[in-house]
Amino acid sequence: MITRRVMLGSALVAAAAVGPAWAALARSGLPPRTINALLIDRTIPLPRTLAALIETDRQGMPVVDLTLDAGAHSALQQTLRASGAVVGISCGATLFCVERMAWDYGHRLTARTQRSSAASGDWDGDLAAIAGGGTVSQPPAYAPSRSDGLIHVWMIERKRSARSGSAGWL
Amino acid sequence: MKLPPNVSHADFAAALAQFAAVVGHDWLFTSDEDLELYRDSYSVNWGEADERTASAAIAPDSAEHVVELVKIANRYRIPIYPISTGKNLGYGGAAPALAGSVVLDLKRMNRIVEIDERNGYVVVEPGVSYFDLYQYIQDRGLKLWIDCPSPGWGSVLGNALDGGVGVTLAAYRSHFDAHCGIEVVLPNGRMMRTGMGAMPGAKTWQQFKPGFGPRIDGLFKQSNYGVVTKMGFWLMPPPENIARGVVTVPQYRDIIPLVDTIGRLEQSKIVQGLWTLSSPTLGTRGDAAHDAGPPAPADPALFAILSDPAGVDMAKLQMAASATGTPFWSAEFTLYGPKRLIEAQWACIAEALEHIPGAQCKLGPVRPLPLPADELAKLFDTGPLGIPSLRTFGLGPMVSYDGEDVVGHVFFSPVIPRTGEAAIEAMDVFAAITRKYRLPGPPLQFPSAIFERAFLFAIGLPVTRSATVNAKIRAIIRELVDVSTARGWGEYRTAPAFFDLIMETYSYNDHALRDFLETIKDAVDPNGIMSPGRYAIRSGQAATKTDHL
Ligand SMILES: Cc1cc2nc3c(=O)[nH]c(=O)nc-3n(C[C@H](O)[C@H](O)[C@H](O)COP(=O)(O)OP(=O)(O)OC[C@H]3O[C@@H](n4cnc5c(N)ncnc54)[C@H](O)[C@@H]3O)c2cc1C
Repeated sequence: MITRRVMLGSALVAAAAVGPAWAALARSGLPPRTINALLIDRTIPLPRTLAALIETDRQGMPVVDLTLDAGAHSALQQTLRASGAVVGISCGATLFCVERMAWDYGHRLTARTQRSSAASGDWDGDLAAIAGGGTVSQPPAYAPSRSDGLIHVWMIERKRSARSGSAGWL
Repeated sequence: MKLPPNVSHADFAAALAQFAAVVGHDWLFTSDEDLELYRDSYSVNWGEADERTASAAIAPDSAEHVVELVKIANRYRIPIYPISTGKNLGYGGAAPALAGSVVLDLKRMNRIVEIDERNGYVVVEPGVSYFDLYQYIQDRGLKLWIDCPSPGWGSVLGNALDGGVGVTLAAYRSHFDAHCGIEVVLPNGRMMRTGMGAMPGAKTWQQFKPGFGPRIDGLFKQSNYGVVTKMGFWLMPPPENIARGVVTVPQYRDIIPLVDTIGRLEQSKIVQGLWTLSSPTLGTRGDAAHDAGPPAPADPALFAILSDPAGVDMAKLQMAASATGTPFWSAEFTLYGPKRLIEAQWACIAEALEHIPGAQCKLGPVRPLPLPADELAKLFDTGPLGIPSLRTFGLGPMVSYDGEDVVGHVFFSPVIPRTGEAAIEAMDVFAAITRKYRLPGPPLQFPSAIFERAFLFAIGLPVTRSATVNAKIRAIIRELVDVSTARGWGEYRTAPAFFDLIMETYSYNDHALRDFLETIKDAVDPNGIMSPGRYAIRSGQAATKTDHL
């Protein structure tokens, strides 16, 4: 079982590589499970324990706020362009948007788990499992909703399929 | 490998090899995993035999590539389906109108070819999104504003070609009408420019829409006569200020003089910003996609009447509302421009509407633009400020229908006469169907004034991943179309699953319009390779009907 510490460890490696080397690494296809950024949905209130966890992680890796507006859009584009893998925490509606934008940068949603925002869940465990490739319960589809009370933890990774376009899609 | 209809395996393989030779192997997509991305996430036929899926996709980088690809498609009779950003959710997504078509994905062609602050125009390629254009203008500090639809990730050009609309001033809201000049690769591979662009070296391509001779630009809206590779659009100077004004009227039937009076103000260009119909009594806002979510009804007594499963009794509701002093309607105006212009416009609006007994008019503060960032962050939709966003995707419950998870919606979008009487009739008719099928939504949905002279009723019907529930939704849409057609209301736009259904309703003089469109189709696209079936226009259909012509 891969722990959160392992996830943060690899994240730190990625964070340390921010800059041209980071982008080059991303273009060449990163080794799996190196997380380049943590994407956090700011359109919904997050449970307190989760918010606290994110605050800790913020020190270990770039955190990108998802607000689905023009400013956040360009930050997200830059992150997707430069990343091999990102982990996100969001409602279904935000995930729906990010997933589609990520397609244009050769990424795919590769892991996801969901939990009610009201339940006192093991967010730490979810994050570790998603980022570390551990076993996660992954319902086949998700509702692209903001008001169903669900929070999704997910990973989006660059895929080496044709549509990734080694030359970069956008 | 999925094949286009009536194309042999050998021909398809040969065509794909030639496509790849033009664009490079990286930009030809044939794997299931890649083609999955060209499915319509909101398809009302998801997973069924008649879901419209692509056989391949190609992504050219230039108009010259497009010319070559179209010639190859003609050689092998391969149906191709151009998309710009392919975000046409609610009206078909990135999926083709004909299953087995090769999607021509123009997203890589994302250059802003020219932008002119002095004359207020831009020339864009298909892949330029509203986000891209906004960012480009911001980065250069240009004094220009854009008009965007609710989802900012769409293509400026693709949205216009599908008849899309935005939310600022009337002259810019209809995106096709705001264009000036088209460059298009015709189905035979020949490049053409419309308007002044037909003159080599013309200096006024983006300044004079009519050009010389017949004005044919309209042929490229909601059609399949070519691949549009460039389009010019008129942009507006950023307004100095913005203000919201609200007029409330007490009675349900006050909607009749309200709509008439505002109509006259719009016709005289005194009202130019989008106005929104809301109801403090019902607790429902119109144009919800463009503004905050619905507030709760003001009073529990009203709530009980509103929740009556047999439908809302308007007389009872009216009485209860009057007792609480709650106005029935409110019209919210967005006003733009110099402060003294806003104040003068408001004076005219208030003067005209105060004739309705009990009307109250209130102008909010005139705010200098741009608004501070922290304020923008709190707004649900920044579209009325010329700023694209994706926040519309957070709107609405999107939870479940008939026990199935809702994954999206498909729009039913009839055009209703711009009168209060027609609005009442449409609200009644659509509310009855909403109740009958327990569709999600407010007890009454309001018409939108987004078009200049008619109302739009955009109803989003839930889409699920259950074939049974989706079949029910298709049947409801057929019923909605029937009741609308019987009243003379036609749809302005629809998803491919309903192209034929809707075109069938435009049947004046034994389908003279469709026959004319198909005669043109035969002439410009005899092999029927360009987006066959889009808006129900196909090649090879007109021959049987020549006796009409
Ligand atoms: C929640 C929600 C809110 C919405 N709000 C709005 C709104 O406010 N206003 C609005 O207008 N729409 C709205 N839509 C509908 C739709 O999402 C947008 O209109 C979107 O901009 C269309 O997708 P696109 O711009 O990517 O165009 P595309 O998908 O690229 O193009 C649309 C169609 O035009 C044709 N086409 C595109 N490019 C070309 C080309 N170069 N040559 C020839 N044919 C071409 C194709 O047939 C294509 O299928 C909304 C949808 C949702 C889900």
